[in-house]
This record gives sequence, structure tokens and C-alpha cells, in this order.
Amino acid sequence: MNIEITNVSKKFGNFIALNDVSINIPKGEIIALLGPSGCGKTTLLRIIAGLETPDYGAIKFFGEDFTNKKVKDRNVGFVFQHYALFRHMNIFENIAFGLRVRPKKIRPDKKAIYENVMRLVSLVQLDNFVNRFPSELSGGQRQRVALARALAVEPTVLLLDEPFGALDAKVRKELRLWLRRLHDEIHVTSIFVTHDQDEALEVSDSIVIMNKGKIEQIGSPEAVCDSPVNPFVADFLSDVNRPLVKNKKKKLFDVMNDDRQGI
Amino acid sequence: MTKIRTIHEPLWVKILLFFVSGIFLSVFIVLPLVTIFREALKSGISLYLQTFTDPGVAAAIRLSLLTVLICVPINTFFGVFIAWLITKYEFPGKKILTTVIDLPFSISPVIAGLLFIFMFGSFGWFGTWLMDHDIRIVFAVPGIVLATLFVSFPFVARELTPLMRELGKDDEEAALTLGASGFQIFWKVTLPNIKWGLLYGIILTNARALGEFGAVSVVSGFIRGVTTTMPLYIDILYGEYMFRSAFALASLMTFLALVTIIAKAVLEYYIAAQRKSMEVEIQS
Amino acid sequence: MKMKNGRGKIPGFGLSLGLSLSYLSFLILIPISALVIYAAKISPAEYFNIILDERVIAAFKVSFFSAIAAALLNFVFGFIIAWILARHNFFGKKIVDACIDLPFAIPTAVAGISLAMVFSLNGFMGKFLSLFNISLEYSRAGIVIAIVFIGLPFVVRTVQPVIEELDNGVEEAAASLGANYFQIFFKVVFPSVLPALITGAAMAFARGLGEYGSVIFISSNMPYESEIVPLLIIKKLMQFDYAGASAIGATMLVIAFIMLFITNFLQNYMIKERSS
Repeated sequence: MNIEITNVSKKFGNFIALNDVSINIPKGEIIALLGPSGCGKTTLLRIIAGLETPDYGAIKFFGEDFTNKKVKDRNVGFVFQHYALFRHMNIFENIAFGLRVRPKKIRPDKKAIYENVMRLVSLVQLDNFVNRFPSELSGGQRQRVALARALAVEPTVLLLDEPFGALDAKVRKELRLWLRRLHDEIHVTSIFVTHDQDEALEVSDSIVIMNKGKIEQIGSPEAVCDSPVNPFVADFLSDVNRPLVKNKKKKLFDVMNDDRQGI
Repeated sequence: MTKIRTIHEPLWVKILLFFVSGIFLSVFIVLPLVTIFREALKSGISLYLQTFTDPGVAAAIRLSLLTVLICVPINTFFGVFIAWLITKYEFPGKKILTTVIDLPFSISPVIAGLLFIFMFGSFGWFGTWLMDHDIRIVFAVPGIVLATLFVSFPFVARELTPLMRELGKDDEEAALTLGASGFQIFWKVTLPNIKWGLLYGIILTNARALGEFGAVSVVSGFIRGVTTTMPLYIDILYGEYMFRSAFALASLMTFLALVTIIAKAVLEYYIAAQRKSMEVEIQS
Repeated sequence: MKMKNGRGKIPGFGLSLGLSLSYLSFLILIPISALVIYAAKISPAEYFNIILDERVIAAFKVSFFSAIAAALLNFVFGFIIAWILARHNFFGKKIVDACIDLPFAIPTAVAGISLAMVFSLNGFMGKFLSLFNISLEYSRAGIVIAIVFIGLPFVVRTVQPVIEELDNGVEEAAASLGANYFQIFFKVVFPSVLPALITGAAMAFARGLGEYGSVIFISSNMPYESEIVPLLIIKKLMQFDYAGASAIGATMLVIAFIMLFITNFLQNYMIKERSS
């Protein structure tokens, strides 16, 4: 029961964004697509979401071929780099959007939508902000709203594009720990794109290191740090904060263990 | 908006610039405005109001309203679609498309009218067929509507395109991943974001549709009471030396123009505020 | 990473492409080809016969030189007005700023009769100028006045944002290097505004070439003297001289295309300059 990406390639004009990329993402994991800018990681994320079509290759969600499935039918949660919150809607309406646009037959009733949204706002710790508008929130708060909005549709996979990219350093650190804890709580398969090595190491179960449209290495944070397969990976990870990996390992060890046994 | 400037022109230059602009704007803006209302009201308010009871004037006002009521919604509808097409998708030939949209602005209104004469006139492309079926387009109301559609077409698309480009596609893509359909995306996400810009475009379309003279006069044939819009009737009255009536009707149109520029200024304020909030959002 | 190519996945491409192309064809492309094809039936000899007719040439000269003169006047005065609006705060600025759009908003016929009245012998400016023995009424100068009025907002609205965006630091740097105000203005400020100013003036010129409504009321419309091209086309049309009307019309169309090309080029150049 995985998300399988097989032999995906994508060109934009003459620019090769992805060149024969294959990844297998186990259910319930949180993985990071890590690489310098222009390496194709965002394109890969958008292809998984269905916002781009690959030129070659296939995407399978839990055995079902999703390559040509419409975005709206994929049931993915996408968190945009600049949040893309609807600025004319308050927080409640933003989070409720995905439920309210469902066809009448499968749309939850008002009460169910209300309960769902309230559950999500307390999950992202924004209980007192439901009536505020995005412009009245800080960057970190907006990021959490974007996350809650994406989770409202109960996505099979959560996709995050540079989720902390637009935040300042301090908020970024807090939020990534929080995201990790959140994931341990809800176990939704998550893929996030980042160019920040520390971020990838601290948050993810495994890391996909990309460069120039190709995958350089896939492995756990420890594995990619301890045994880089080539000079690029070694160089790219040369100045990471090593204790981060060790810390996380200790802190999350028990949780992850439970997780694995569950599968 | 005004930045803090540390470099200023010498006082005498500043005075000179203000003086020159003042004179220029007085002659070209203030004097014509004042003249319209003065000429219209010269013989008193009752004679002024009497103008509007003239059946010719009333018919002209009705035809102008009809034209606007047809042209503005049609051009708004297609303008929105074209702006959507240009800003949401990449496709070959997009540059040519944007140029075609600008054509009605760069073509003389008289030529615009001429185009429809050559298309629908008795000797034009569809001339014989139309005559056989007893359909009148040129020298009739449909011709006026067509010519007005042509000249007032670009405004909505042109106002929306830069705005929608700045807004980007993120909101629409977010809505898409949340399961919204195309129409839901447009009504619930895009439209609320572009409403001020859209209104701005509509107001400009309306002003142009109402005031068009050259294009309409070519296709009208000046059939009094049938194909005379307000500007055409002003021309007729003026040509018959009925200056008071001409200026009375002109004053009505001027009043509408003043409402337009006020609405335009107010909307520009809202659009600028929206832009600013967008910038803040991205920075924070 | 921004998308460079590819349609993206927002639904509605087919629908909006279909609707847009149909409407543009129906409203713009087919009518234009109707005129062009009619004109193309005229033999080259006949075409030149029509175009090189003395009256036609005179009309082109009147239209061309009036539009040039008006564009030059707007170049100067439009710049000054844009400068003041962009650089200075004064009582009633908002109103003045809004009034610049009046020529956009007011019907050309209304502008025409009112300018004609202002500059007529009984009008305010007419009386004033007659003190100096100048009569603008029904002269070629009247045409220029109408076109100046119509073209003003093109220049002001193109130049104003550029002046507003000028980086104060550059001027300060010039000042710190010992330049006086006029040196700063002519060597630093004006060159960076010039592309916008030329663009605006070109747009005003293009608009002026085709202007009809405001001009015919203030001009005496005398053949060979003060008859503009659009008016000549209408006169040909009224005399059922369709070949003549289509030949001149097609020529005007070509000029409009060229002007559109030039102004587009200038605008793109401006955008590049500003973003760099």
C-alpha cells in the first residue's frame, strides 16, 4: 500500500525538470524531497498532486494508476509555499472550502462541516482565530491554516511545497518540530519539498536527495548522512547539523517503532 | 504612496511648473467642462429640462441605454474569459492573441465602423444574403450594437489581465486540490479576488459604449429616432444650430463621465489597497 | 520553480480558448478581413490613383502633422503634469488627478462641441486669443487642440507611475557627487523617464491619427485645408465611393498596425527597463 512513482520524466521546453525518477513511498511515512533550487523537486510534487502531467512514467496511489486522474479526484492535500489562502474568506471558511465544494451527494451537512473544521482548528491550535481573515494572521499561523485546510478533505497524501520557506528562522524551527509531532499524531502519508538540509533531516522518515532532475540518493536521515553515495550528496550534506539527526532519532524512536509494527 | 524625496527642484522651477500645468489644465479641462454646463443652462433650468422631453432626445437616450445594456454584459462575459485564458494557461500564439485584443484601440473609430459596412453593407460579404432575408444590420440598430461592441471590447480583458497575472495561479490550484470544479473555482476563488478590477473594466466599457461617436456614426446612417444614439443626436442638434439642446444633452453625458472618473478613482484606490495587501502577505 | 511551459491543470482551457477565439474572430478578425479583401480587389494602379489623389494626400498630411504637433505638445505638457502629480502634494490633487482621465471618459462628440465653443470667437479662449489677433476657430490649430485633449491622458498615465517609481537614491547619489539640480534632472532623471514619455507620446500620436469625433466640430473640414482622413473616408462612403473608402481605410489600417507594433515594442522595452 504505497505511492509509487515510476520512471517519471518531465520537460519544460528545453529544460529537463525530471529525468527518469522512481520512488516508492510507504504509507504513513513523511518523506522529504531535498535538493538545490531547480532540481525538479517542486515539479515532482506537482506531478504527484496532478497539477502537472508527466511526459513519461506513471504515478500509482495504492495500486491504482493515477497518472491521468484529474486533480480534483485525487484527494490530495496540497500546502503551497505562499499558503494560497483565500484572502476573502475567514479561517473557518478557508478550512471548510474543500468540504463545501463537494457535490451535494457526498457533501457533509452543516453540522458535520462545523465539527470537522473546529476539530481541525484545535489540531492546529488556532481555536481563537476562526473568524479572522488570513491578512490578520502571522506567517506561522497562516501556514497552519493552510495545513488544516489541506487536511479537511482527509487526503490520502499530504503534499507540502517548501512549507517553511517563507517563515523566519525562529518560527521555522518551532513549526517543523510541530509538524513532526502532528504527523506522529495523524499518520497521513506526507511528502514535503525543501532545500534546507536541517529541515529534511529533522522532520522526515526518509529523504530523497535530488539534483538536476535526477535522484541522487534515497534513505533515512542517518543513512544519507553517514554513507553518502556520491560526492554531490556528501557535499550537499557537508554542513548539516549532525546532532539534529541523533536527537530526532532518540526522541522519535519509540513512536516510529510502534508505527512500523502497525504496518 | 508618495516617497519621501530629498531632492527638490528650485522654488522658481516648481512655481513655473505649477503655473504651466494650471494654465494647461484650465484651458483643456476646466474651461470645456464649465462651457458645457454654462451653455446648457444659459436659458434657465426650465428650458434645460424641456430638452429631455423632445422625442428625438428621448429616443436617443433609449437607444444609447439599449446599446449599453447589450454591449456591456457581452463584452464583460468574453473579456473575463479572455483574461482567464491568457493568465491561467500557456499556449502557442498567446502573444498574437494579446495583440488582437488591442486592435480595437489602435484602429480609428471610423475604420471600425467601416469594417462592418464592408461586412454587412449591401455590397459587403453578407450583403446579398441579408437583403434576401430582409435583415438590416448596417444603418440599423444591430450595426450600432456591433460597432459599439467592437470599440468597447478591450477594456475588461485589458484591466483584468495584469491583475490576474499578479494574483497568480496558486489560489486556483489550491481550490483544485481541494476538489473544486472549474466553475466553483471561478465563482468562489477567482471572482472575489478580481471584483474591483472587473468593476473597473466594466465602468470603462460602459463609458466607451455610451460615448462612442465615430464608429457608430459610420454605421448609423443617421436615421433620426431610429439609429441616433446620444452622441449622434448631439451632432445633429449642433449641426442644426440648436446649441442649447445640444449642450443640454452633452451636459447629461458629461455628468455621466464625471461619475465615471470618480468611480474610477475610487476603484483604483481599492485595487491599490488590494495590491498592497498582497505584497504584505508575501513578505510576512 | 516557476512553470515555464505546459498548460497547467486549471480546468476550462478548451472552453475559454473556444469562446475567446470565436468571439475575436466574429468581432475583430472577420470584419477586418472583410475590408482588407474588398480593398485587395482594387488593382495597384487604381489603388495608387486613389491614394495619390491630391485631396487624399492633403488629408493624410493634415492628419499626420496635426497628430505630430499634438503629440509633441503632450510630450511637454503631459510630462510636466505627470511630474507634478507624481512629485508634489497640493490641495485638490486627487481631483486634478481624476480629471486627467476626463478625455477617456467624456464622449468625443461632447469634447468636440465644447472645445469648439471655448475656442470660438464668442468663447472664452476665442475672445482671449482675438486680443492678439489669433483666431483658432476652424483653423488647423483647432484640430491640434482637439487631439491634444484626446491624447493627454495617454502621456500622463504612462509617465506618472514611472516618475513615482524613480529611485531617490540615484538622485541622492548624483547630488552627493556634486551635481546641481539641473544636472541631476537632465542627466539622471529625464533619461530614465524618456522611454515612458516616448511611449506615451506614440500612443497619443496613434490615437490622434484616427481621431474623428472631437476634431470635426472644431475644424472647418475644408478639403485640401483642414480635412482629416477619417472624415474623408466618411465623405467617400456617403458618395458611395466604396473603392475609395476601402483603399483609404485599408491604408489607415496598415498604419494602425504599424503604430500598434511600435507602441507594443516601446511598452515591452519600458517593462524590461523598469524590471531591470
